[in-house]
Amino acid sequence: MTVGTEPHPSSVTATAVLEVRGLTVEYATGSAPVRACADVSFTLRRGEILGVAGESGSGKSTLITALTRLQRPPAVTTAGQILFHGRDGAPPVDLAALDGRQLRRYRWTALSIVLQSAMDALNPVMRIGAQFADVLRARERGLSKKDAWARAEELLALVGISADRVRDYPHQLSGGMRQRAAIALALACGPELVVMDEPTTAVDVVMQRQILAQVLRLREELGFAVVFVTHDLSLLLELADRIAIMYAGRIVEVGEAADLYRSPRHPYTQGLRDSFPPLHAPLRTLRGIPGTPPDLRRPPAGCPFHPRCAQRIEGCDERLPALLPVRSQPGHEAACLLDESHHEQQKGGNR
Amino acid sequence: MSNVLRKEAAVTDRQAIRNPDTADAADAAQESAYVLEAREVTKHFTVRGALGRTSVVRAVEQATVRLKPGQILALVGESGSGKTTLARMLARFHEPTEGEIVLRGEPVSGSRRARRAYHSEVQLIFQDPFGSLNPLHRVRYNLERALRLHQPQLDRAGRERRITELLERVSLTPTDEFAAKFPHELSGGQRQRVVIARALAVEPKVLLGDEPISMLDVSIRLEMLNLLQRLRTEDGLALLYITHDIASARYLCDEIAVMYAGQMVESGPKEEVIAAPQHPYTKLLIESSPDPERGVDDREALFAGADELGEPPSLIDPPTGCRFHPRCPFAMPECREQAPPRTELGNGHWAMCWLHTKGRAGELAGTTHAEATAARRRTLEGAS
Repeated sequence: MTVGTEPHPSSVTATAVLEVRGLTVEYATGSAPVRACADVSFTLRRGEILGVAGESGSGKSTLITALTRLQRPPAVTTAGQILFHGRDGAPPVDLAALDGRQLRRYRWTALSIVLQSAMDALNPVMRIGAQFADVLRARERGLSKKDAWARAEELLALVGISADRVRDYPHQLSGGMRQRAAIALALACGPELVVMDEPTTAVDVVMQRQILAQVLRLREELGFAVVFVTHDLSLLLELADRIAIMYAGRIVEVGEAADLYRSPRHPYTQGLRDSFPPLHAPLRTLRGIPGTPPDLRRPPAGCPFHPRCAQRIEGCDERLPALLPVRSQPGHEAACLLDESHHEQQKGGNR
Repeated sequence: MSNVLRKEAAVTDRQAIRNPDTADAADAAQESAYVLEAREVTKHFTVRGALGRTSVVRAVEQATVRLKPGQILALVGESGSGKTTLARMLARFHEPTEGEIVLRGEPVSGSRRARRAYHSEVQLIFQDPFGSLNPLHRVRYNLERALRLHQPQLDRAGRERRITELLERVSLTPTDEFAAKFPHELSGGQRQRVVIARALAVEPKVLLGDEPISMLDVSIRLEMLNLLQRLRTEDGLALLYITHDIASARYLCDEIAVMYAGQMVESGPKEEVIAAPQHPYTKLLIESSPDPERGVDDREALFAGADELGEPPSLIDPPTGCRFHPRCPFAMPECREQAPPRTELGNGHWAMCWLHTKGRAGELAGTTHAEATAARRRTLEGAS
């Protein structure tokens, strides 16, 4: 988890819980399909928190719905694999290739999701405890109603919600409590991987801190891995082990949180980092990133960031840079022609 | 500092010239040290429950806000703390239950004409740039409508000139092209700039921004903050910036005021408030805010004890005394019984907390909210 070096391919299977390879998702609307996720590859290690940061339209939500197989037409996964490695050591399963019935075996027990708005994720006309009991009893046929409700109380206690709330309806809980209940629900069947889609965007900073502290503690206790998607890079820098930056449907940089903050390789990452004013450090004028993200119906040629990039060089508008390892920093990858690994590739010396 | 003063003086002069009916220009200058004030305003809403029971929501209690020309005041707090209600009273969407709104020293009246005159000086920018422009009309129409209402002296050509100026002001160029677009053809950032341009169309003295950047993409938020900064320095606008994002408040504003559960708990120069908060709630808020610089080295410490920070109270039945006392790790018996007095700390900094009257304010600096909570728990357990 804190290993800085890129593991040897054979050890990947030992430590990885999820391997995504060349995942491509298209929206089949109008004349030309819109490629919202293009050739996305990453490995999630067991128990790791991978942050995915990106702006609206960067493809981060598309990525999540593809990973969890919750996408609806017109979104279609057109290429790629989502390899899930169970903790039982069984051969990996490609989640992208399973049909709905087969998938059901993995939902909740292997993979679960926490959505941005818990109000929409929880059933408004069912008591909180009943929703937990539903999930628990669907997985464990022999579980009695009474035991399921007792288990619901334990799960709510994990996120600091008192047992008497188990008979409440969602609207009787505060926004922060609902979000915590949604997290507890996602953990109900002991998943190995929890995907979180902006779980703290709708709550205040104090509640946000509280929720993140609980996620970190529960991860320590239960050992699940997290894919945490947000637009708030400053949050990920404090929370995530590694961070992937998405732009126009592609991962443009991925690395350990500290490396990404101290020495970002991609100009977009630099711009994003410099879009968050500091809370205590001396103030200076920040510029953000001029321009707007590209229209994915008409993506620019070459690097999708080049029209906004202040450091662009010759070739940026023609060649699409691949996501390559950064030489000086193990475990750090960037898709930018400025990075030295791309110079070598250009000369044909792809190390 | 002297720069700001000069700016203020210049603006006051301009106002004095614009108001020939003010008998004494010196008097006017005195009065308009504050361009807009909310003086001890209170807002209670009556809500009816499903069973027909009515209850009173004490959304804002005795809040005072003062805006100076060329100055930016940030109003921070959690949702439900009353910051939006306060802004809406300042924008006159809500009439205060008690207290008064004062524009350049004059309490405002409720007549229709007075209202329009008021809105030609005070404009509100909403959080959602998607909902605040008429989607059926082009940008030109959206701006022209504000000009027709508030600048009736302009003829058609004059309005067209103004529209070009306004779009340039907010950097939407080429202006012809942007004026001809429909709101749905614009990105969120561009739309919010149109909203700001429309607010500027009436040449206001005060802008009230209710989370004006929170719905925008991260990379364009800075542009918007820089634009607001420019309007303050170049036009001498007074700005109330409402946000829950303390880092952006620090970037933009001069002073910060903190609200909790409908009450102002602390206010002062931004660096003082952020570096050395003088109210336990301000302290909790700042310690909870992400800070990329604080960074990634010691995550354990960063999140230690943050598991149980509590939640704001109901405003229908708020706690007695200081409304923060149930969550406060420093709470004393008097905190439960009586609302704390306001303590002036110099340099325009004040806080409403009993720690100051009891000589315990020093405790705030040496600890964190989480540490103090843990220490308190240990003491309580030890006692029982």
